[in-house]
Amino acid sequence: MSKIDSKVPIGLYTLQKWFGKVITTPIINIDEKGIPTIDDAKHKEEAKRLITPNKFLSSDQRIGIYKMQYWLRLFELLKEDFPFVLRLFGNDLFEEKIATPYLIKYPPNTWDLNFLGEMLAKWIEDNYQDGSDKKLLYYAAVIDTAYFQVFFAPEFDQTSNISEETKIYLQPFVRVFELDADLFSFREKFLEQDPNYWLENDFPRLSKNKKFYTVLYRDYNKAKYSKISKGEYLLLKAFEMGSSIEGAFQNFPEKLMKKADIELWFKTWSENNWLTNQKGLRS
Amino acid sequence: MNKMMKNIPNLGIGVGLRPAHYSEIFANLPKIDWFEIISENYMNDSKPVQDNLEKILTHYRVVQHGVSLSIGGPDPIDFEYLKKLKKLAKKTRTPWISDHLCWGRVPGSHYHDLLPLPYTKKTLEYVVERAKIIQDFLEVPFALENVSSYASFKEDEMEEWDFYGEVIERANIFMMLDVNNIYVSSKNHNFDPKDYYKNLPLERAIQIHLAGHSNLGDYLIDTHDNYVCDEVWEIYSEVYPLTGGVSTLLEWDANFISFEDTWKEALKAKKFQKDLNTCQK
Repeated sequence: MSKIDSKVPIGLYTLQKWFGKVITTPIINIDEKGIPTIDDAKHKEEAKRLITPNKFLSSDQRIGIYKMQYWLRLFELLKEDFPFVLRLFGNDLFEEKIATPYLIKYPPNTWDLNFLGEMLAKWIEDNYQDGSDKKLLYYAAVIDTAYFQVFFAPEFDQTSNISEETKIYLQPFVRVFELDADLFSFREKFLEQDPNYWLENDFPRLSKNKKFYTVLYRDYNKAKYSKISKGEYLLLKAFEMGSSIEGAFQNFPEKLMKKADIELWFKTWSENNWLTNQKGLRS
Repeated sequence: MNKMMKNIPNLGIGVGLRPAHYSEIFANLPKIDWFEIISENYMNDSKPVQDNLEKILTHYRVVQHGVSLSIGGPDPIDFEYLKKLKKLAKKTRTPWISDHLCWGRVPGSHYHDLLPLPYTKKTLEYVVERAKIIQDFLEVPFALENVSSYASFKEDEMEEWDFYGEVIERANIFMMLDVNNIYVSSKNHNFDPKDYYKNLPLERAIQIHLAGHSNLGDYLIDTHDNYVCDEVWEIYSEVYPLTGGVSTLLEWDANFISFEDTWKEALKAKKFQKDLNTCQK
């Protein structure tokens, strides 16, 4: 059981636990004043006992305003962080099929809202049952998550004093992907339209049937992506886990070596400060 | 208290700093008196976030305002959070730190809202003790803001203004008075705004907030997405001279207008400060 302040008046704590439970109960109905209803009969009864009505609003309508604020605020945040997932559903279905069940399973438990949706991809993998294209939905969540993680990631000092044995890491603001479809280009086209546009229009064409290698990175104030070769992907992936240069080349396919412009790759990565000696957050 | 008050400057008129205005601010470096930042938005290691803050600090005075302290919450005071807040305060050199007189979490759940407290003697004792601890820990003047509320409790034993004033005086902290919140709550709870501010120890006010709200017919919501209404300006014009003249700030958090227009709205406050100027003459 989580700790409480030893001096909190027990009546206050009881009231707060009840209040929290009522406002985090999902919205089912909205009344004629635009306020979510309190559907649980026990909650409704307790509201009558605890909250003062006024001449315009009943006790449960008054706490209903807080319930509305709680859910709408979190919906807005998730919509902002998951623009790709949002457009797969449109506004209303996103709230119903994704945001509500996700927030029931993973309600916010810290003051930092920047990572409210960090578990969404896992939630989809573990819990999402509806619809035919769960794989697309899962990767949409993975990519959206990567965008905000890359934005908020710290930047460590650049690599220095490198020998062949020095362990090198990818900066936390750089992520690499190997995907079966060109989802980054698809996402870019998808985001050109409002969330509900795709409910009535065909999705953009999605290139498939080969591997797509992509690097997502932060450039000043923005997360950007670039297509990369398989060779670049393999080396950057090795550094993501933490590897010496020698180690990164140990399993590097010989046939790729012929086409590789390794000197140029390292020059670009170094200029962009993508490599560091400091162990990354995902290593 | 007087000694502490002497060290608290009147910064003039400011605006809440929001990322939606960054490009306009960085391009034009408008001449404004000061910015208020939401502390939690800068309590992270993100390089772009910190770079933007550095740029602002190079050109402007910054004051920290928080939303997650949950001073009336049942869980223990979060010293890890306070350490981060204090670390940020060293960077910003904020002349004071403010947050809200409310609660927002219980152990294991964070509601990300400014939830109303029952105005009872027991709650008062509890909040006063916690405010003293927080003030001591922060080592900069600490102020609490009155919130807009949409519900009140049957167990209330006193008026909100009495509760607020007593917390401020007994904890020996400061008041960050939101005049829009007074108006919103006065409509939602059917009281006269004058009863609110005339019963407050306004000599402890160090900052005033202004904002717009949404009128939904039977109730008002504090949305910060609109111009300040005439009734709120009227409260401001009456409260400002009673404070002796303190830093004033406009909050605007959604349905953004240009920074230039936001600043114009904030500057209207000057017109309503004339009473104090007259008094001082």
